[in-house]
Amino acid sequence: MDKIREKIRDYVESLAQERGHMESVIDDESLIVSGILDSFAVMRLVVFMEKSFGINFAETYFDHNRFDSISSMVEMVKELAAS
Amino acid sequence: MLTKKGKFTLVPQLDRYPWLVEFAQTIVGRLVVLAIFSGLIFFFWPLWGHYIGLCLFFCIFLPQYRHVILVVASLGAVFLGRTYMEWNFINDLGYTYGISRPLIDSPFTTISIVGFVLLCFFLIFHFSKSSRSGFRIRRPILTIIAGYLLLAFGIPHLPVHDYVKLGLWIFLIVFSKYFWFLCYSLLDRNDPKVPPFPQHLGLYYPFWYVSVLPYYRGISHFQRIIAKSPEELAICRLKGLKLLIWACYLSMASLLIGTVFYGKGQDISGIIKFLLEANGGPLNIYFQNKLIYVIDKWPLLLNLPHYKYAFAQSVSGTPLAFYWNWLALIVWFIGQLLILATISHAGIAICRMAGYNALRNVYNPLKSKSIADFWNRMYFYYKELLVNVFYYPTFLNLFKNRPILRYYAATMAAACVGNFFYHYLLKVNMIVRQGAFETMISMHSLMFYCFLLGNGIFLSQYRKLKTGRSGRKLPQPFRAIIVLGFYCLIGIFWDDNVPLIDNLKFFLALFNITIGGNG
Repeated sequence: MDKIREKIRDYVESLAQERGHMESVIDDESLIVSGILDSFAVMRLVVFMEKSFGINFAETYFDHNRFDSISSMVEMVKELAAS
Repeated sequence: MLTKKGKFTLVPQLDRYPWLVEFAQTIVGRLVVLAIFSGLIFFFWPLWGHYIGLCLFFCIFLPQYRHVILVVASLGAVFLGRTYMEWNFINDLGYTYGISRPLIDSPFTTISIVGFVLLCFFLIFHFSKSSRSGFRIRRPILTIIAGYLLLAFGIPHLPVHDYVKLGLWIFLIVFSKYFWFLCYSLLDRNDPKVPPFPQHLGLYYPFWYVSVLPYYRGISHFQRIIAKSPEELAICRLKGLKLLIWACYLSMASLLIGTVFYGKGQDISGIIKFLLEANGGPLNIYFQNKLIYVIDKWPLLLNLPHYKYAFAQSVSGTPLAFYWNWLALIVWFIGQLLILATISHAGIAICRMAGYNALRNVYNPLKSKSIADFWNRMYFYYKELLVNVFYYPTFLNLFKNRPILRYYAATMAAACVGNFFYHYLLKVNMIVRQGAFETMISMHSLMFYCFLLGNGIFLSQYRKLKTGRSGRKLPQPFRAIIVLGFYCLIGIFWDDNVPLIDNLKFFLALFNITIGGNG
């Protein structure tokens, strides 16, 4: 499960850096509320998760608020992968 | 004002002084901050400054009841007439259907009409929850879009009594004004943390900003930006005050641009004109018309041709010299950006003052690195709305095996189709008067604008999507000039009150090319 977290963190940090946020991202740090990531970045995260974890978001309830922190993303990936 | 590190900032960093944050938590501190804030707000919304100040007073001193205050304030604004509604238009419509007296004759009538529409919204919201076992609306947003278009195109052809048609038109008019608020409620319908529907009403035309565009990113998201502790609240309010000070600077810049470039007798900007000339405008009250007198005494400065004048000249076939057209266009474009930034900053400042950590709508547009980036920085809440309503559903459901096409379809769904539909809804009066199809056709220039914008946004991301890397990086000033230039040029076609050909004439006149004309 730590692999999931690491993968997501690496990708989130690369997205945050593209947007000028150079510090490392903490697991529970709010990403969307604070404006570090925007909705375009969320879509890139969707593609990343589809490819990396085989998740099909079209078949689930898509809640972009769950992309707000690394922790909530990890939790979501676990849930969706299990279902 | 100097910060701790001694760096000069135009707007004092109020939220970073510990003593000030501490002071702003006390009763006296809260009153002082509110008094300064309300004084400044009066310059932006002179007629509603008292109402906003009163709502803020309750939010500041009873922060635990903010969700109730918002609902009361929002419905109170409808009652008092502070909405985007054009009730006079509905009265006129009544006359054309043979009703001899005004339909909207009291605030109770407006509340009844709005109440009925909101009740319908509640039913749509209720029947679209995924937890329902019986009848359920599976794609509620698509349903309301289809429903809206069906009504708009269908009402004139319905074989029903004229009064029924009139009722349906009134429903459609009010529906269109609340459309995007309902969309956000529906997007969050399955979120377990989202509050009950009546609380959503506090965000339907919230007291801080009267616009058909919701200045938040959904009900659920709004719950997450609430400042809770006394310290968080104090910092949030000081950030609001800071933003309002910045908005004041921008409005002064508008005044300066208007005066320097256009001199006296020209429409320097909507805001300043309103402040100076509107009945009861605060500058008029304070200076008893002397300020206008002083401005009129200022010498004619550059006295550049206004955009409207340059445009009219090119349409009539006698365009001004191309460099005047460029100047008129650029100054007009900057003026538009300043107005948007000023007004949206003031709105967000009130929201922060009420204790919600909302992000700005306009954020450093001159630092834009691409066309998509500018859209995000300049029209943040508008972009968020279109992304949530149009981009996400398209992206998640279509062309999943063709990545580039997937991004293209989603971008066009938001920036082109959604963007056009948003403006189409704004034209509801024209839909009622002239017909849904005729309105759509009359907006062909805007259609062209949306097409250009959608493609521009997609192309600006294309290289990164294709290779995962950005292209060769130009220095930021050049990038900003290219991006701003793009928006400045396509902005010509945004005006949907004139035919595309006229907009095209002005566009070509920028390059010293003249076509057609009456001259």
